[in-house]
Amino acid sequence: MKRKKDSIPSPRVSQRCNKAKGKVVDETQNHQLCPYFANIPSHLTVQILLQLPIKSLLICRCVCKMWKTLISEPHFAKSHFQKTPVSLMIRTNDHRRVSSTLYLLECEPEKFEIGSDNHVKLEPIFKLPLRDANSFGEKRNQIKNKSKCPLLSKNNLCRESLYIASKPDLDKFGIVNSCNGLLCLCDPSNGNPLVICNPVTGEFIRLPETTTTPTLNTTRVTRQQRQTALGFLPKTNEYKVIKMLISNHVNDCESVILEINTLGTPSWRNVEADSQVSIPLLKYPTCVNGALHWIGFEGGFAGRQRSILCFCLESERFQSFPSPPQVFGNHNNRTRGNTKITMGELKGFLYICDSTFFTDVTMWVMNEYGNGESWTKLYNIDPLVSSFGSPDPSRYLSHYGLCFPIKHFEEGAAVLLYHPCNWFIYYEPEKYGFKVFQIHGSAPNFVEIIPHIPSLISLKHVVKGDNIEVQNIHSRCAKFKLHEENEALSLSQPIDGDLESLRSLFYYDSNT
Amino acid sequence: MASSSSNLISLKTSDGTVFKVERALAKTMKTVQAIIEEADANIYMIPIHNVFSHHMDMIIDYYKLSVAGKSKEFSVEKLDNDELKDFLLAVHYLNMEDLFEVLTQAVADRLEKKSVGYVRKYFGIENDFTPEEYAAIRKKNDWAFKGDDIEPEEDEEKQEE
Repeated sequence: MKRKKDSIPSPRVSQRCNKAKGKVVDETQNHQLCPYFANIPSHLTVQILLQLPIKSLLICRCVCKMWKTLISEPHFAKSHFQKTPVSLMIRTNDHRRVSSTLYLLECEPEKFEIGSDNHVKLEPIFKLPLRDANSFGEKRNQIKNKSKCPLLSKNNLCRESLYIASKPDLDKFGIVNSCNGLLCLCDPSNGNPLVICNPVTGEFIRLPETTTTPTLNTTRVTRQQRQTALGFLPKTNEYKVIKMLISNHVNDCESVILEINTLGTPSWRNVEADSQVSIPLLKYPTCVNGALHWIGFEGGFAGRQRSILCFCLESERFQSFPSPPQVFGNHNNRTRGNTKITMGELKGFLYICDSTFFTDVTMWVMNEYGNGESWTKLYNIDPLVSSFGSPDPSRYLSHYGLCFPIKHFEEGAAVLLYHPCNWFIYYEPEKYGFKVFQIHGSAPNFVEIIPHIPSLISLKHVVKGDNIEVQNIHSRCAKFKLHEENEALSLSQPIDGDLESLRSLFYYDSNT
Repeated sequence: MASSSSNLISLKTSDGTVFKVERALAKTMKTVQAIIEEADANIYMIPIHNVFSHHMDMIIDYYKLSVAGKSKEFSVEKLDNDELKDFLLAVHYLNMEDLFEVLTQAVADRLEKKSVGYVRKYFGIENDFTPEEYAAIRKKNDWAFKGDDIEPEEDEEKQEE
């Protein structure tokens, strides 16, 4: 921080200053004399703005041109991003419809105190771009040309509107992962990565088309797996998307076609994959420390062998990675095969959540990256579950579903549990205890949850050069409405979050 | 407990009051620390411009609380906006990192979820967007303006003129 030697107000100022709050003062003449906020140097303004949450920052962007510039600066976005807590992106998961709306659920426990009669509306944050924007462009032109042409809606109601029928197969995006504030979207039918977007700024870019890749091994393929992930390499400030096609052949050989696109470049690069590394079924791509990690399930999800596969983005090579032996080691053979292990990243730390045994949900964090010994059991949510009674939990709680750590244990551990019927349990033992809430939509459907840290990082700064066009959702698709956009998600807190009520919620008397 | 003068640093505020503070506290003020280090001989009195005695009182309060591990109890709620601004500038001048962060957070808290108009008034900023520019940027960030907890725009109609 610089020392301010100039623009020091004279002592008599404090008597002159008006005590009224928020008084508007014309500063231009009194520049040297009055220390009103109007005069504070921009680096001080930046320090204040850095402490604001994202919503308020977006409001501040509309204050004046200088502030817009300050907030849009890449360095500002980066510094702010480092302070932003983890939130969750929520999308309704109805397979019959195209859900292009993302909702942001900020994990502020005060917000979860809604009261049993209230519903708090969740504001949609982002409309995902449509996969086939060109066909929509044609439809849009149809509308423009024939001014009163009614467009058939999905339900076959004729009405004059801008509602456009959409087909989930063609238009829906799958979400691959969230990395450093950006989301990677793919074609859900084949996992092909198509778009990278920043939901907060509304920007997105389309990834280059796939070029035909030569088949390496022509023997018959028994199993194929496509994997995609978005990663970030802090050293070079680059984002990379990797695409893998892993084929297992009849003769027990495995061939891997690996392609990488560095964001901003116009094409995919073929990368030689290490033939020594055998790749099992992969899930939960997570980028930490400039490398991508997956949990590998040997022998499929029901198999017992699990490992962590690591791909270094700098060397563009696979490398070995220590897994937590306590978690991945000997599991009792559960015939149900409820393997619920997820992996993710929390503020630079790799974590693994094991909710395989529903009586014992555990969270593991790798405290020291790369050091297998540093896998530490953060907390065990057993007391939570066991307090829900039920002699045989397996009958009533199929499994807890997903578990997301929200705060690192040094800041006071907090975790969000998600039960597949859209129940959430926010658990921060030291401060708030439990908070239970539910998400309602207009139709009963499940939601898809993606942990995401909202950021102002602009794709324009990520994509260096003119090769790739950065588009904005607001300019292109804003006029169109999909039927799904009439849905509104809201939060409700049906019961007060005390333990007795929670128990009644999850404990079903077997006699009734 | 006998305290030799070398353990206490004398600071003279703009309004002429002399405060004797522990060396450890003076160390948190990087500006003061630099002056001490630059001096050849022992300094007896360090003038701190731009800092008033009521600022020093609060600084000492904060220091005592943070030494006792209770820095979260320090509050500037009772200060009105002008007083908070003065205090922030004083702490910035003294280059005290921790307290500076507490104060910028306090200002941010006062701005959180307030309307564009409120923020402009608070900082004495004039809107230099044309109505079209404002409409465009407002539309881009529309999500941020929605929600029950956001203060509505009072002067939004003026923008559309």
